[in-house]
Amino acid sequence: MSTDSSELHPLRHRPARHASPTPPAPSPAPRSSNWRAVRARSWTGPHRDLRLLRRACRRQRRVAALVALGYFVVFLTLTVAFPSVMTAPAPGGLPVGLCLALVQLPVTWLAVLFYEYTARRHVDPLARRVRHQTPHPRDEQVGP
Amino acid sequence: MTDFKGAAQSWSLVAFFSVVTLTLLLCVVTGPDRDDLDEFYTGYRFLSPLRNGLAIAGDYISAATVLTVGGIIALCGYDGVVLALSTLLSLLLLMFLLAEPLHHTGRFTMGDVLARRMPGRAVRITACAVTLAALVPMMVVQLAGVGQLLAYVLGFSDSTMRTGCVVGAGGLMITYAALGGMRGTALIQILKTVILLGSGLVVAALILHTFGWSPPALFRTAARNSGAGPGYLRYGLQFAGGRHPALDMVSTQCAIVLGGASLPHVTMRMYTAGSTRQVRRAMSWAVSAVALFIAVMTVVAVGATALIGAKTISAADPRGSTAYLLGARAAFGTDLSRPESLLFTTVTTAIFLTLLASVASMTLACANSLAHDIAARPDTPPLREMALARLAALAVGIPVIALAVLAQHRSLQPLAILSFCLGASAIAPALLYSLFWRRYTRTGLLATLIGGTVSVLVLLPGTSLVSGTPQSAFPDADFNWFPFTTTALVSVPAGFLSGLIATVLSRRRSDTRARNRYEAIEPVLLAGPAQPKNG
Repeated sequence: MSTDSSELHPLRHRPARHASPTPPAPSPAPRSSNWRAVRARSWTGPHRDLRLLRRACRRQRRVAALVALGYFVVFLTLTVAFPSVMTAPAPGGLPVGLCLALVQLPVTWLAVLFYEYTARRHVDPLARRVRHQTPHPRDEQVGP
Repeated sequence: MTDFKGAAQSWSLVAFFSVVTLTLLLCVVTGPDRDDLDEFYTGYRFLSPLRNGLAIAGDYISAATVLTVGGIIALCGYDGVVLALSTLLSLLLLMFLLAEPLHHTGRFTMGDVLARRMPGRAVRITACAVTLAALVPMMVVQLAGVGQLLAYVLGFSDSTMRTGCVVGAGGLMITYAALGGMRGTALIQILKTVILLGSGLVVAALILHTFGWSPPALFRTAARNSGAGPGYLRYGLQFAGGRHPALDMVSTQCAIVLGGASLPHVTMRMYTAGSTRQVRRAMSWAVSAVALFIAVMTVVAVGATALIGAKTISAADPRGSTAYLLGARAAFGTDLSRPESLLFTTVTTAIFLTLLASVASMTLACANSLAHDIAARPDTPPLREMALARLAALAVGIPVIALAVLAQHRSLQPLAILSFCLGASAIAPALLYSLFWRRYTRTGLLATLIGGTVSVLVLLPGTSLVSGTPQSAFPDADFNWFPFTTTALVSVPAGFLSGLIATVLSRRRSDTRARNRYEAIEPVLLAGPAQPKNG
């Protein structure tokens, strides 16, 4: 079983975090309205870095997963619901559906390259800063 | 053109024995040499991203994938290609969504990841139970496949010999897992990926060469020889007999996309990389290797249909499990010269190695989970825990061998589907929620794991894979009431919903605690540990 460091050293209550136990009044669009308020409260320091990192990670994950999954869902929907589109002949002599399927292999590869590039560019520097600011290095869990 | 007589057969026998000897030697030489738990469980994080990526790809391309998906591509054309693509998409989603958080928060097993957020024995025990439930069926499928494959390649039909093969391969898999640990199995996986890709590329090139390097010509010939005509190039052959073919197809893809990459033997390789960047790079290599293999498999399987016709393929095995081998054999023409038969032997060896390596990895994942999540306590000395893990490999392996012997003459498809559905309905929701939802509670986690698992276990026996048709596992019985062949369309929402509802219901008590815990681990989850893991 893990003994986790956070149990021994619980984090102090941080009023600046928008995930604090006493949230501000709920709003229909939390990201846009909270954003300014939170930003005004703490402009610099570890909280801001963590927030930026959280936002960068979330954006990267959402975009990447939605694009990959979206393409496949559209492809599958076309296959199942509009078979006539997918069986029409494409320029190469194969049906459109099969072409769209085979194109996914190079597209996957491009997606991987793009993901690596954006992660290195937008997420890694922030992650590095947050890592350096974390006061204690992660206490390795002792024992199983 | 489809028989494996004479030289090819004796070559295969020699190759199989050399592979067994070589891999055993590798396991013994590279196995953990100190009483270091990290070394046994993660391979001391010694692998470069490329090697780690090849090992991940090796873990991911299981024999079930090669044989089953190859068969479906050969017999059903378009539907099989889509299935192969969803396999690839699953690994891509693992890379985009889970790989880095898993690497940051996990240590050895899935139980570690979940317990980091929600500590407690109940969480670990449930995680271990779900791990076993998801992997044991897959192992049975592969082990039973070993008997089938060896019988086919070496040309015997004796039932006792088959059972002997299953037991022998089972013994090997336990030995690999127990002696080699993560390090040994990683090397075997790398070896397997390289041989599988290398031999596959040569065969695919030969097939494309036969058709003048024109994929349209290849597909058109295959469609002509498949007996289905243009139907081969559009959707509908695989689920033609079902009540709702469209929904059935969506359900199957959903199970593969969500379940494929969340199975514990794949995710456990995420913990073995050194830094965030390494895990990302390793996943890039893994996705590239799998994409390449999917292309190779498509060409070889479609080539099999184009060269020898669907009738011959389904005569050899009604589900086309041997299509990949038949395609490779047909690519070399009728008469084998010596280098050709050597090359063909490499293909059969690659498949054999795939079978062995993937069961060994799954055994290791189960054994690690049993030893680390259930048997060991915080004060257990490392040496003892390693002994426990080795014993656990034995404890998992022996029942699996027995089950494989019992199941080898039945249809194995429901077992493979069971694995994927459990991955999609229980493991994927639990991982996604606990890594990304800050209000998720312990009750919610347990409800996700148990709810997802129970819904699969309740629904699956009602599908037509288990009973009701001549191709079912129990062709004589008929208790088929569920209209789809996979349960994912119902069980995946069930898994997600049970977690959601249980979290909302338990929120009043544990909301603040859950969020505080999430806040505590968030920097590590997003940015990684302050010092790169180095064992």
